[in-house]
Amino acid sequence: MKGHPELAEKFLQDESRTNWHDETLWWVRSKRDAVASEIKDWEKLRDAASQIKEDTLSNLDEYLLEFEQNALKNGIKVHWAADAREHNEIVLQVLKSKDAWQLVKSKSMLTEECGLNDFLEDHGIEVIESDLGERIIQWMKQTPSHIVMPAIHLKKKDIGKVFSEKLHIRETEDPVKLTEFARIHLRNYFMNTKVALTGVNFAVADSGTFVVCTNEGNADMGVHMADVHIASMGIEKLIPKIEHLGVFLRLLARSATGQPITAYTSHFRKPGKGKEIHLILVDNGRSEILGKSHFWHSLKCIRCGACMNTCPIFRKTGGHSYDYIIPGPIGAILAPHRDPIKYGSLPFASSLCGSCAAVCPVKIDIDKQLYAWRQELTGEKSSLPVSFMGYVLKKPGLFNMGSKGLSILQKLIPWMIDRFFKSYTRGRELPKVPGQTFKDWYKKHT
Amino acid sequence: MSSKETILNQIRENRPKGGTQFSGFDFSPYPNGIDDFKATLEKVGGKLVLKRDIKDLHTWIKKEYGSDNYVFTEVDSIVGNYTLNEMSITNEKLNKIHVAVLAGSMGIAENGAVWLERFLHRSIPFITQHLVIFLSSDAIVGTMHEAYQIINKKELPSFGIFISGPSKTADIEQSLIYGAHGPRSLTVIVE
Repeated sequence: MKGHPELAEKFLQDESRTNWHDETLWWVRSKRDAVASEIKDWEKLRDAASQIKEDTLSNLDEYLLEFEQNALKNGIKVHWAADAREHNEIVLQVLKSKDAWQLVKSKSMLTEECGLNDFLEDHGIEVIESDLGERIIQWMKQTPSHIVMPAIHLKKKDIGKVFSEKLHIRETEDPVKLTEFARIHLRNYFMNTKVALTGVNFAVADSGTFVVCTNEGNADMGVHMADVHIASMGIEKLIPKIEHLGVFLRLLARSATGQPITAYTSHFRKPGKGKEIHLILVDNGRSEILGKSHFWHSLKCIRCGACMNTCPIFRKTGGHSYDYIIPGPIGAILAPHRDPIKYGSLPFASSLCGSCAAVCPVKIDIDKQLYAWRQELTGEKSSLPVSFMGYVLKKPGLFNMGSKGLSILQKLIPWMIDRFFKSYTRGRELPKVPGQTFKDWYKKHT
Repeated sequence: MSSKETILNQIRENRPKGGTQFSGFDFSPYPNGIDDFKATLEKVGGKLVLKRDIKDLHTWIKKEYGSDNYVFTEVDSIVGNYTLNEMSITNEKLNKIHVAVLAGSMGIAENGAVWLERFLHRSIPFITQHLVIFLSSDAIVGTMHEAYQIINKKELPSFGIFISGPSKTADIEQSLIYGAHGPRSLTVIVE
């Protein structure tokens, strides 16, 4: 099984691409800083968002029932799915009931989590991702490497190649032309599909409304042209009141891409004339995380991706190194809940610098949770080198001997030191041990 | 036991205690003049034109969008040349719209968004090649908080939307391209 270090090594092989990835995400982070600083109430908004989500999660059962009641009153069909399998079955049943063999989708991390596309394809349904980045990823049989910018790991050369292959056009790297080809290609599907699926950014308990945010307009193109709209949402996407949207919508796009708001923020309350809306409330492990003291705060996440853009490890190792649907710092604290063995290396893919927590719009203490996961995963036991150092530091004589000895050893047989610290010295150099210790220097100068 | 009950029971058993309650806050105002709205709208790729600067809308549309065929309008004072009957609407007919002229009920200065809530068909603001929104200069507010205070005063629409600039994507190496799936351009005409 490959952990984060092994997968990161693969990503790091192409140095220029790695640097591009690093710089591009840092540029997005800088855009976020610029727009956030224009808003006087930015810190107040973060506090408010955190409080609203804490309140929601502390009374989630009541808010869910309030939401369901209002949504039903509005003519929305509400389904409950305890796990991924149940969610996928519900989608399939809706498709079958409409004799539909195609599903046009807009971006939804939840359906990635549920493995919906593979499930539907196994049942003979054609799935069409309509977000440009997601379509490219789907064509390349890959997974998104970022929750907001799914194709950020790709260069236009890669994209031009797959376009030429799939749409039988002359290869081009021009983003304007490629976007136009995608527009024509996907509009054809929008025109003819019966059922379209979207994710949900926020669902509001007091009015049974849900909100979907996109920049391309693909979610709306899909659902307004189709007869049936399926909306899949994690149960933590709820907020109590309509006016709370003001807080979250001021934070979301600014944190995500540095835009003041997404191009489209659609509020669905009732289905259009002659149309249906099916809303699926998905648990899939969330109610379990709710019961874990401290860790439940990770459910406040609104999926903006700011923690990824700022993270020095994410920027330099890419989203695929995390091997989980949600990569980056937030993914590293969510994934081990799914499988602590498979994702055990993720909480260590961090320098614990805390930049993630500093930019998080809902103030999740991501760095503290990463640390807590490390304690949990190692059973709060110190590793052998740490215990050894602890012993040495308690014995001044041994410490003096050791520091002198190390400097001599590094001069005489550097390969041996390197071999001993193999996992540390791979990819970086061990600092030179100075000939003179601080103690000697201090003696000479007093 | 149904999945609904299973989920709710597990939540009841696990829900955290002592989560803080949000009691609202006094937000700082954001300037809400036409120029403030215009500055943000331009940043998000939109354009603002004053109605008094347009002599004849059709001539203006022809100049701006190459052709004034298939102009669909939902603004009472504006005469279009492409009408759709609610009873006989089809996706093919919708897809012919070149310019849609719609009525916005509110503009938000902090993000250049316009709120729309009346539609003959919900797809129109997306499927049109170019979108023109009429907005009254009195209907510009500073922040999203004020916007929701106004929206909350009456029953919410069945479908309502904030539109901020034209449809856009940056999925190919972060190059910003307008006209991803929806309108290639957005002009707000302020009267």
